[in-house]
Amino acid sequence: MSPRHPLARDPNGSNLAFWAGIILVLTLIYSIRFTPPQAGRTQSIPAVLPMPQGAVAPPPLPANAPIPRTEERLPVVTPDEKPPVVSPTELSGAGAAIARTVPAWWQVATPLPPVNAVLVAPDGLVWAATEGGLARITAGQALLMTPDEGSFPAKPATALAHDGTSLWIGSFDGLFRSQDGRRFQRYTAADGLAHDMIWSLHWDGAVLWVGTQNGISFLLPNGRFETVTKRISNGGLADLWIGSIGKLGHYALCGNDDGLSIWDTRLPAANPSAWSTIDMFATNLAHNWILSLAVSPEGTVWAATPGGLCRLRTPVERVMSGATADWEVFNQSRGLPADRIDAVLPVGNDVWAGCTGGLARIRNGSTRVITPADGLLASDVRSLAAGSGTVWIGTSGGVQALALDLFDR
Amino acid sequence: MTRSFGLPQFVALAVLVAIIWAGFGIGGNTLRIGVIAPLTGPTSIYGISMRNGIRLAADAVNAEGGIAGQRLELVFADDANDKIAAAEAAKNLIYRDNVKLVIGTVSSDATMNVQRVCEKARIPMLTSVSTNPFITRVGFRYSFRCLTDDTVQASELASFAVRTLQLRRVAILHDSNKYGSMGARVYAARAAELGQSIVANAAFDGGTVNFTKHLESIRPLNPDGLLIWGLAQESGLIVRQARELGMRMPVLGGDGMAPAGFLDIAGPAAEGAVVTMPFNPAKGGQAARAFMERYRGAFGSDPDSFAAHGFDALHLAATALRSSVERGIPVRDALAAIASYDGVTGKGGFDASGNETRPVELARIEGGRFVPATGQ
Repeated sequence: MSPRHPLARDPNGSNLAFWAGIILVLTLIYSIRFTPPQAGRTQSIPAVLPMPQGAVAPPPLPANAPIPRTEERLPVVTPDEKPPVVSPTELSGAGAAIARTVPAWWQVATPLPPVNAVLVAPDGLVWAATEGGLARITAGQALLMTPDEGSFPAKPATALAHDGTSLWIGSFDGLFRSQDGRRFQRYTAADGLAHDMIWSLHWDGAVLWVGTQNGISFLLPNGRFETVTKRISNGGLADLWIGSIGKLGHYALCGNDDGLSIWDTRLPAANPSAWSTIDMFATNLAHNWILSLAVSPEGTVWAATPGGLCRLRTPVERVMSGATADWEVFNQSRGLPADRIDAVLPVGNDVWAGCTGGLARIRNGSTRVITPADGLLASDVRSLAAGSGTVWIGTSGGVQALALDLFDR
Repeated sequence: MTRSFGLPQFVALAVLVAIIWAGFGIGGNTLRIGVIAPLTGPTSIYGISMRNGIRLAADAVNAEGGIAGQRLELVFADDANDKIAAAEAAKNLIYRDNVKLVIGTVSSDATMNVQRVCEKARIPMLTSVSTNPFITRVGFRYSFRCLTDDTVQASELASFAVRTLQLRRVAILHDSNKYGSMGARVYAARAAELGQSIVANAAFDGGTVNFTKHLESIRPLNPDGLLIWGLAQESGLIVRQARELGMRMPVLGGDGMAPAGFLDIAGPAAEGAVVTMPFNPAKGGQAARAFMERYRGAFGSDPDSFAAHGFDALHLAATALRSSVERGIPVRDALAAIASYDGVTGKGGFDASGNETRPVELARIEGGRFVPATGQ
């Protein structure tokens, strides 16, 4: 009698059930293994304090509450043993040429998901809004808080601001506020925001300004957001997407994809004469898409565009009075590594430009460029922030810090 | 004899369901492509054509075994020609649905709002319909277009108007959106270079139905040509109302007037109009004929330019995904490496900025049909 084949029919059907069970288990494992993770779910985030419906002001958190030590609970991206100055291999970034010598000016280099914004808080903590969530950088170590880990409710985090007591984090799922870096209150269109997709934030010393997918919002003292859209402004705000937002005196600067719309906030937003938009067709602005904005301490407006970095030479008051705006444009022909500029940061008399091909410092019209060959984590500089004697740089490879005194030594 | 449904039968049934579940990729053994298009509202004539072409191509790829054993799964999102909805759709497709690539959308305004989300997330976006030149002139590494842009379309139309039609004084009516305003701007610039005068250049908002005031302001200027840069619904109404007002000058337009829906709205008033026609079936040869036959079989109508470009877009996406899997490179790099391709719309390719490289065809409306224009 020949041995029976394992798959041969059994009169009782027991073999069939056995093999069917094996296949079932293997198939289920296979299916689960290759099911893509569901990102961005916020329902199961234990650390989030939900915003009560109908509330006009955020519930108060204890002022100056100490930041709890949560490192043990949160995912640590950089090992504790990591020295503050990284190795050449780490600085070179994946796939990039390894620098022969690591310049001494690099103080910190922390690999992270692509960084959309960097901020140095008044308490010295450094925050990064990344495609993966919110990161806190302290002493050269990064704590990445993500929805998947339940430590931050949204991804991507897109923008950052600090009002002196609270950290504000923009995301594509609303605006978040935190005082302790652990608990986050969420604000959405239901709270008066123009839209839940936040692209830019700016704290002007008294008011929080929010650039969204559908216009701008600003936070009123009563805790509600007031909104200005293209429709509300009767076309004064040239378009809806607000990629960058800033403030110069009583002028709100709104960077969109039809140029730079300026609102004299002394006048109602619905008054068309309260607005002026500077575009590339009527002026020498390098491009209509304003990707980033900055105002230097002495009041110079800088606009980062896909066509170059632009410095407004005409005083804003004169532009609002009808004068044609005049721009000085810095681009590849003036030594920048690329025409597309994603970030701009005035520091003292210098201006730093985050480009798609590297980082550039402009001083007295001359340019000094830093690329991955110099230890930049990645060639696309997406965000910049100033600390004490330090420039913080966010790229698609992570965050790093450059010591200004060593850079010029 | 009674037969009970016991454990063995239950397990066998579960196995069957699990195999079907896994086999059809529902469990995740798929490569997801997001598709954003207006599938409702007046501009759905573009979006539905595009969707049909994409579906046909995806079916063909899957019928041939998919990509490295993985099926293509299309995730559709309706933006209803709303740029905010388009941005939200991009966000959901990328961060919720984990698509590898986004195809879309139709309106240039909407596409620009999609491309910014894609660039931030580093997910490639390929548009097969939107023609505003800015889409590939913002230095974005993740934006691609497989359709001739308005710089080429409007320039070609201006040359034809001056050199072939001998038009000297043209009036422009354009949509106030980014598609219409940029098309009109490029045409006017090229016309000025060629010595053609633009006697009027007026904008209208999407959704306008009565163009009497626009046309009556143009008529006293005696233009010898009327350029319309807008979408099918408004353009069709403009042509009809112009003819009703006795304005008989030649009409010119961009590929916004290329869908069959324009002919339905304009009716006989469209006769003689010259439009840019990125899809000339003769250019695609046997592949185009086979595509048209399959399209007719599947949807019961002739494919238009938007269906054909959607079909090519999906094949480009599939090519990039396949190359990405086989070579272990990012999808974006695989897409950027496609310097040339041979699709149903003809031979094309991407330049260094991700833009389409080929020229555009012109068509004249004759007998209610688009016929390749001669004298180009």
